[in-house]
This record gives sequence, C-alpha cells and structure tokens, in this order.
Amino acid sequence: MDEDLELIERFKTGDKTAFDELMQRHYRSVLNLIYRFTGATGQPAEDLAQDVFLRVYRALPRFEARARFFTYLYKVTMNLCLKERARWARHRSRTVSLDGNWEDPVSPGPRAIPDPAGSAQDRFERREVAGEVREAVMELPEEQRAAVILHRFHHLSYEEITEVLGISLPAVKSRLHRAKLALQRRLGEGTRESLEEARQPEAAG
Amino acid sequence: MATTCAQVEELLPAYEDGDLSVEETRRLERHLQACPPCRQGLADLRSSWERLGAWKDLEPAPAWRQDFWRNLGRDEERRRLGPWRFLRSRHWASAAMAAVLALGFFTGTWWQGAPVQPTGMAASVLISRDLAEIALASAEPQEAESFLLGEVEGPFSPEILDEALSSVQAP
Repeated sequence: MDEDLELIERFKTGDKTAFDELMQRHYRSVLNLIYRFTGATGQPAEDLAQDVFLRVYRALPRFEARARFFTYLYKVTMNLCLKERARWARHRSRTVSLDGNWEDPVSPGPRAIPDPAGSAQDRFERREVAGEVREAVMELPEEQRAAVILHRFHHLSYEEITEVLGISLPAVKSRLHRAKLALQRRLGEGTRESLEEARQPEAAG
Repeated sequence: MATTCAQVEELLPAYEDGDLSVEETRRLERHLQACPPCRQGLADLRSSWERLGAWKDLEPAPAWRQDFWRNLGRDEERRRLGPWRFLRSRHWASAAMAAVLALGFFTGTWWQGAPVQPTGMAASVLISRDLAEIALASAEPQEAESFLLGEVEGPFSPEILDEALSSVQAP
C-alpha cells in the first residue's frame, strides 16, 4: 500500500502524528502550488496552505482509498485558491491596501530560495530569467496555467491532471499545447520576429 | 498536401507528445528537415519548457507545523462554542448597534407611512449593509470578513450578508 494511504489509515484510527507526517510529506508542494497559481507569497500563501490542511484534516476520516491522496490534496488546493482569489477580489474592491503580496507575479517572494553562490553577474542573470519565467507563466490564462504548473513543477501525468482539474484528457492536452506555444513565443531563444522573417510563406512541401 | 509553417507550429506540441498519426508525423518531419526556422521553433518549444525550471520554490515558513496545530486548536474551539459564539466576543457590540439601527430604520419607515411592499426588501438590504459596515469597522478585519462571507456562522444568513456585501460594493 502506498505510504500516504498507510498514514491515512493510521490517522483514521486516531493517530494524529500520522497526519503530521502526511503534512510533512506534502506541505511544501501545496505551498508552492498556491504560490505559482495565485502569485501569493509570505503570509497569504502560508494561510492558504494551512487552510488546505485544516480542510483535509476534517475531511480525511471520509477519504476513500479509491483516489490517490495527492490528486485529492491538489484538488482541494486548487479549489481553495479559486475561492480565495474571488474573496480577495471582493475584498480589494472595498479596501485600498493588502497586507501581503497577492497576484504579484513580478516581485520575488520574501522567502524565495536565495540563489546559490555564483558571481554577482550570474546571480543577476538567474534572477532575471526567473522573473521572466514567472511573468510568462502568470500571464497564461488561468486554466492553462493550472495545467502547466501541475505538469511542469509537480510532475503530474496528464491522467493525474484530469483528476485534479476535473477535465477530460483531450482538454488537458489542448491546454498544455496552447500553453507550450505561448511559452515558446515568450521564452524561446529565437524571437518571434526573427522566425517570421526567416520563414518563407511556403517554406517546404 | 503542402504543410505550412503555421500548421507545423500548431502541431509541434502534439508532435512532442507523440500524439500525431503516422502520416502527420511523417509530413511534419519532412517539413522540419527542409525548414530551419521550424526546427528552431521546435528547439524553442523544448528550451522554453526547460527554462521554467528557473522559477524556484518558496521555502515554507519555519514554524508552519506549529502554526498548523495551533490553528487547528483554535478552529476546534470555535466549533465547540457553536454558531452564537460571536455574541461572546467583541462582535456583540456590532450586533447591538445593528439592532438599534434596524429598529430606528423600521420606526422611521413606519412613522413616515412609506409603502410597505417595495421597502421590505430595501430595508433588509440596507440593514444588512449597515451590519456589514459596522462589523467591518468594529471587528478585526479578517474576522469581520469571514463573518460577512458566512464562513463564520452568525445569526444572519449568508445570503443576506452576501446581498449586503454586494450592495456595499455596488458602484
């Protein structure tokens, strides 16, 4: 039996340390799913991650081993991200300031991993690239962004993404294909213009 | 059939996934052989996907586990106190003021002899709005917000509070 399911079984018998272990296995990835999908960092991101695990804690006694735990966990996370974003949007229309970074794709998070050692120039370039990548992903339409993050950063298969997002396999593929094309245009080495120039209208048969 | 660069570009992600038919794959590969820009396009598709790896993870807050168990404790305490718990906290002041306002409003309506039917709804919305404003002004922002959004139960239905919020937000 997979390790998550063993922990869940232990938790169902009242062993809270099993839940603690389960969280330790998944907290980081939940936090980062939230971070990359919403752009939230710092306290808002942590609060949301905590909320995900609170809900899972309540729901887990009813969890059935038919589903993989992490797809269920990511599903809860995605749903909560969407709900929270709607709430923040409503809140923002009432107030002028927010006490955290929310949907701020450009500024690096306060707890972003510091760059490893290297020359200042290297570090600068790495940060530039990271910022560019972050912007490119954040600019994708929400449904494409979700698929990209799950596939690229959480290494979910297409099948697993269908479970998390509740969409069909062709829909997953189509979202990823469109996203890849958009990212290629945005981040590819050869710029769009130079490619367009180089291409003849009917290059080859 | 001729394959244009635009068609090839659209097919590249599916080609990468091995999702094209044998015939489509053959045509696309023939085009790629003859077309350097499209080969560059394929290389870009791969490299841009690789480059996403530059976006590094956030590190969890050092105390996230302690935070979780503390939050859980608070959550259980709230559940234990039940739906009227807000009366035991600082919300009671909001409720009292709202009641006074509501009474004043109805008295005013009755006194002026305004038509009952249309104002019924308006009154409830206005009162809810007052409630919303008061709750927001007097309680801690996060608590008031949860309360207004019906996430924390109170004596007011989520529908009324939602209506109140949307009327507050209406331009």
